Amino acid sequence: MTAPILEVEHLGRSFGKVSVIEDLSFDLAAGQTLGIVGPNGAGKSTLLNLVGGVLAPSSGRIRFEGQDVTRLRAEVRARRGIGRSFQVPRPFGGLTVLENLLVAARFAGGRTTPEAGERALQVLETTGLLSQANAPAGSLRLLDRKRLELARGLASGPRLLLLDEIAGGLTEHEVPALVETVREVKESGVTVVWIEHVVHAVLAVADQMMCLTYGRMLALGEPQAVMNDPEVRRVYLGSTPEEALG
Amino acid sequence: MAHPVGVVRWTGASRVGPPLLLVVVVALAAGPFVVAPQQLFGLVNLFAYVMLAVTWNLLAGYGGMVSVGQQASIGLGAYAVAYLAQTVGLNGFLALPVAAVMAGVVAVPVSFLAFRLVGGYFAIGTWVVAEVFRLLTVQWDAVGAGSGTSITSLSGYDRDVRLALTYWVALAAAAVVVVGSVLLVRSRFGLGLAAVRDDPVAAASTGVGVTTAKRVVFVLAAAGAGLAGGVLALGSLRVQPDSVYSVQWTAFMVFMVVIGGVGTIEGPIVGAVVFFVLQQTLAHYGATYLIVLGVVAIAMVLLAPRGLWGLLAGSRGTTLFPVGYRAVLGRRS
Repeated sequence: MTAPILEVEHLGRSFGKVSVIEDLSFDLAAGQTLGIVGPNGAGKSTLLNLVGGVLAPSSGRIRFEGQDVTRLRAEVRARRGIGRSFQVPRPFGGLTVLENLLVAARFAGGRTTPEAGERALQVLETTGLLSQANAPAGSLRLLDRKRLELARGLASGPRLLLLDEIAGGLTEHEVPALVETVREVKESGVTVVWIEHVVHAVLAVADQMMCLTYGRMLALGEPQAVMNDPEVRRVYLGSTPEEALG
Repeated sequence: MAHPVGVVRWTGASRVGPPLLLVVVVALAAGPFVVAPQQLFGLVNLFAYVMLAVTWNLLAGYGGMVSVGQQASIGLGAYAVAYLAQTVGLNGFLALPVAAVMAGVVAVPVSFLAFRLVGGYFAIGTWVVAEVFRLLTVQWDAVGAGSGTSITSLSGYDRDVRLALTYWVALAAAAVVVVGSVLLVRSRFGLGLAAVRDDPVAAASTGVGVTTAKRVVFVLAAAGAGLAGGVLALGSLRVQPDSVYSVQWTAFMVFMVVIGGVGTIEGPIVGAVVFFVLQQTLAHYGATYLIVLGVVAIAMVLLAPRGLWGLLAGSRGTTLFPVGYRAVLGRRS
């Protein structure tokens, strides 16, 4: 078993009196892909914001590559190797698509201009955004904004990539290409945490699945086992798998 | 299928700017030999406007910080020159860079105060800071308190020589500010700054030190405005608190940047020239002049929100300076 790259210990976050994440603990081994499912409001995005450093936890600890990063700012975590995408795309609208990736490659990735350019073009090609490289990011349609989120998260060359519903809003025939991209990322050795409502997409890549509800972990383990768990089916998928998966 | 060839910064258009800037500066340097002294005085003001527009644009257009208090730095720069020249005995022209540094240094503690506020609160907060500076100056007898002070220590120079020197110093200062802003925007720092402006949360998540980037540009913009204030003081040889700390300066800066094109290198320079020409043309019409400025600004915002440079540059955002990055795509052979 490889050493865990991410260790989450008794993590908690509340907004006022509302507890969004409660006493959450898990480890993730390097190179693994963890899929996270759960109903809306389960705390999935909050968990990602806590790991990425956009939010500070109310309690608990987060270790990345053995180092305590709980109190580190988002930019420091990004430079240490945590890349991410946002559920609602947050492009740098005044910059071009290429420049969006260059920000990540130069700042989080610590690359020089030529290295960053090479990396950015390579990521644009794998994510299917190459033809839009010189377009202003603010002018992209939704699908390309989603792609840009993934591409910018990758451009830094992260060792841990946090993905937040990158398949949401995609058509059925666009999903396989996205799954393929994530698979390639995984095969290059990157550890991935992927929150996704499009369950079959994340199941195609995940080594482990976690189901969250009301900020608590309902199940964690082998993907099929988690998805067949009666409790998971009840709170997330509906009463029967047939209903839920159509 | 498009295939990536590489990333370039120098494109056809972006090769134009640097030599064009050099030609313009060299041509302007001949000013004292061809232009009447009274017009030289006007051009000194134009150079100060360019500095003000360029630095306010760095702050708002690249840093996303809409400050209404840059007159704090203008006043500081102007008073620093007056004080250093009159009381300390430093040559007025040498006092200018010192004044810029002082305005920048003062902006460091101010930034810690101002950055506690965002958006509209930040704007008003910076205005309050400028008012505090004005009120402090009015209490200070060594610089003439409420009535201000004159810079007489430059009277050793022949009038025409002094005017020519002032002109050249102002031109050099404006050139330094313009070239400095191009280099800043072109640098790694400039890329991060634009990211911060567009989305601070995403910028932090891509490794950009958001607060540091904002603080650096805040301090540099203050130094630039201080330099402009010093130039204005050297031009008029008179410093008055109600004039140098006037919020009207901010209105002018916003006008120049909006007219020219916010968030571009060229826009503020174009805006400063337009403002200068309007001011010279309409100077005799009193308050009508301000009404015309207002109407022009409203019309521009409604009809051409990207400013005059935005109209010229088109949707591709052509720039005369190599500040952006372009992917060059070819075909797979």
